[in-house]
Amino acid sequence: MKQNTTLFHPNLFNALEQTQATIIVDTNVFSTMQRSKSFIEFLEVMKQKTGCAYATIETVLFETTIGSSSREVYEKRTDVTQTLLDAILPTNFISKTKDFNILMAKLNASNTSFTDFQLAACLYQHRNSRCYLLTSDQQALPTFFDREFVITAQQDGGRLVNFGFFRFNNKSYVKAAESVLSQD
Amino acid sequence: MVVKSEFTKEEEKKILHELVKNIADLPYGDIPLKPKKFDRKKIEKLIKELNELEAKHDTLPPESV
Repeated sequence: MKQNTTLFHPNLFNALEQTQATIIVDTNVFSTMQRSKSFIEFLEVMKQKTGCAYATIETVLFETTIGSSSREVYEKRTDVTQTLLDAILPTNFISKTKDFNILMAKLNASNTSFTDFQLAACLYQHRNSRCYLLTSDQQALPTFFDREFVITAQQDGGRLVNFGFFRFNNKSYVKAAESVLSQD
Repeated sequence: MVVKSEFTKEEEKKILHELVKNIADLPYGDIPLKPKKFDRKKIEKLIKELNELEAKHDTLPPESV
């Protein structure tokens, strides 16, 4: 493997290029950017070649700043997020994703992370758009989200981190909903 | 992640205020979004400065969350 390279499937850029893809980034994207120049380069090339947009949700922004040991560190962290992102996506999960919330409460009760829940709700809310979650947390989402692509980023210290591109799968969602309904 | 509580009450207030302000500064958008140009030079510069600061304060950047 070439030093400091992010590995990805050759079809990734084609798939993203076909429509205006929005990549919702998780907190671990920022922490990997902080440790990998080649990952930053990958994010740049992906945007240039596909025209994708980078977005996130408020709770991810919160997670990127917790643990800031000084005002300067806090400000630099927010500067990085502001420079990368094109927008924050409002999730409005209480009013807009009621059926999804009920299903998640049943199927995903063991994952109590509010950020994971909101990321899932965001993908659900925007399910008719080409919307992907980019995360290295392979357990963040329940099974009705497909991991369509995997990339491997190499940190400057040599450690490898795998990221998945996750998308909402309506067929799997309906199946999951039916199985929950049949239990009631 | 190392979490330090070195802030005074006054600093905490200011930081919380700025967090809200920073969030408000980013456009709330709906899909499809209009992507801006990727400013790699700026990001690399910010991250270099951030890593130097983290080293100075002896804190680790957030690991995968």
